Amino acid sequence: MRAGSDALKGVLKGGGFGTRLVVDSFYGATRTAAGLEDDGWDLKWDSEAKIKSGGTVTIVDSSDDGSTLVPRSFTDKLAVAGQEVNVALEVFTDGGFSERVQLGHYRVTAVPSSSESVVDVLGAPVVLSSRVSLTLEDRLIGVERKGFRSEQNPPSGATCWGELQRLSGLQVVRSVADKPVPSGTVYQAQQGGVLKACEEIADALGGVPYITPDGALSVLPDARGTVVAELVLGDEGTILDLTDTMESEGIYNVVVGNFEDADRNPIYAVAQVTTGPFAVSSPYGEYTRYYASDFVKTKAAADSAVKAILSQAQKGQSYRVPVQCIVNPLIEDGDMVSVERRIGDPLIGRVVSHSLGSSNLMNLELDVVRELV
Amino acid sequence: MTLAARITEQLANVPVVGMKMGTLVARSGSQVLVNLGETTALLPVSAQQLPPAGHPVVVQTLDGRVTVTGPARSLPGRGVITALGSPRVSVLAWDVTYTLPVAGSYTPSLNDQVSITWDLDGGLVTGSISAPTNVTPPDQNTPGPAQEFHPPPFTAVDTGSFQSGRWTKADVWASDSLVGAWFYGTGIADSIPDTAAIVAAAIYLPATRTGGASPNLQLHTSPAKPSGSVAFVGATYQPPGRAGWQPIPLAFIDYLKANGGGIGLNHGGYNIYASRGQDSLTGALDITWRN
Repeated sequence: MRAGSDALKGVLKGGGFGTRLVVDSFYGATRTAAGLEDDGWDLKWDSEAKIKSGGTVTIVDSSDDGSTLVPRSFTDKLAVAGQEVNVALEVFTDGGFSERVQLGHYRVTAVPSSSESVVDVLGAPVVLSSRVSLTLEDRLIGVERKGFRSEQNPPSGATCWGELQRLSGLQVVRSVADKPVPSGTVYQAQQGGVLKACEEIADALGGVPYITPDGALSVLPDARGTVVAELVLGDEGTILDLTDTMESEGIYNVVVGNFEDADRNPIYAVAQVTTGPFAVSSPYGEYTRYYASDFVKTKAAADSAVKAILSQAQKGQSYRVPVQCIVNPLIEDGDMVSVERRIGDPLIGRVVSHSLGSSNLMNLELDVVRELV
Repeated sequence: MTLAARITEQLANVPVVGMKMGTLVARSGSQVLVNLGETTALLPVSAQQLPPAGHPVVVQTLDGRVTVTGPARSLPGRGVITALGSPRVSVLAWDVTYTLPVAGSYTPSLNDQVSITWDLDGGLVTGSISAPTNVTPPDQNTPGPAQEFHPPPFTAVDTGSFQSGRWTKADVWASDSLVGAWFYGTGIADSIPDTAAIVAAAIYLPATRTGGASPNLQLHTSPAKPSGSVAFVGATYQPPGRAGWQPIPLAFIDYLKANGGGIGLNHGGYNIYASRGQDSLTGALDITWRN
């Protein structure tokens, strides 16, 4: 969940509110412009993408001193040389309630179009307003563009969170318990190498790297949490494409792990299901998955790694349900939500991706689990 | 599962090149027996040398063919005889003791420096050698100076002002009757190692009103808004200016990196700063550190 007050949660549940995007531009720690107006925006978060979040915002700025926002040099406010924008969504009601929800801190990576409206004042052209479309990507783009200059080992005694911070150079928020980095790890000098290393470290921590709304690097755990919000479909909202289907694909009941210790001795570990409808002795038979990881160096770690993979595969068969509902800017990827249905029990699932935009509806993709046993 | 997800998963399972470790059992003709997981397999060899039985070998799958490509650990070419025996002697090399046969031309003697050659039949002690000479290795690349980190500012996660037993305002006040506070969650302590040397630190003060004396900045112990007031610790500090980016003592960050907590206004004048809801940059900390 993004941060918001209890009063805001009440307003979001009750409906009858409006939203407005608040955009500030930054260069390093310096805020170069505050409260920029927009004319259309669309932001998407996808927990399965490499760069987890991004989108477009069209800035419209009416100029009172004849200045323009159209970037012409790489040092201008909305240029693409490291300039960032902070994006917040203001939720307000006619009753005077107003609160800003922090959506994200984005790097401007492209300016696909820009224009100005100009009038002649006493024969001299003066800029009335400027309109700039921005392509935004979250701070993982900076991590992805960075590479190791040559192959290297982590410093001795390194831990996963310390390495995520050191490699990315970003602030981190520790969302799961820390673990040591195996000493034999070698970081590779290759395109996108730092992000790859961060993804491997996050995988060892049990999740994927993502950027929090405040712009810090964190890890979104694979483990499912408890339901944190109820979504309201509203008159226009719909659950698209929900059918009762079944699929056996992906329901592994055997996980085989092949690892090696620091001296390259083989470590073999296997985990299997022995009870229930998916037991290896049941009519279902065996469905084997193979697993390997450079972060496993002992027999005990190997046993727990294959058990963890098996329990994920066995936690349930999941299916994806696209949902369109009234906007709730507090929902983010990884949240467990329930969606009320007109008929039947509420639908409970984990948010895999979501998008927000100028409309008062939001689109979500839910990963919904059918319990196996 | 969607079609796209299924394709992705199946692509991920296509073994283009696979590698795993096995344990060498014995050579059998031109092939070798290798223990793999729960089974023993007879595999062709593409290696020039093999380690003694019981040592790990690399088993590679390349384009559907499984071969043993060689020892998993490099094999030593020199060692010291630690025990005599017939027909084999014990040789300590690279901290591992090998039991190896001896070439007919060589009469082994305890503590001899010996040369070992390896082929597909394993290792052979070929003879004694002179004590190895010392060669000067090239200098190792020296690590650069301590890395300097200057991420985008750490923003406050919450703000508030406390008066008469409760949090009465969302913005941050310093007045005779109110104390204000910024809360930063765990980000600062999570990001900055305890061993880091703080190089520069500043706080962003978006003033909505200033007046009277300067506000008294002071550390407090709460990462998030407590039900009661915050507990201030350490000395108070009056910044040189009252609005915009203002420097703060590096010791403030030394405290926050190790203890968490936040920064508050312990009275001082009649000064008001924007709440987190009004300005997401309020109380932001711009920190540079070296580690």
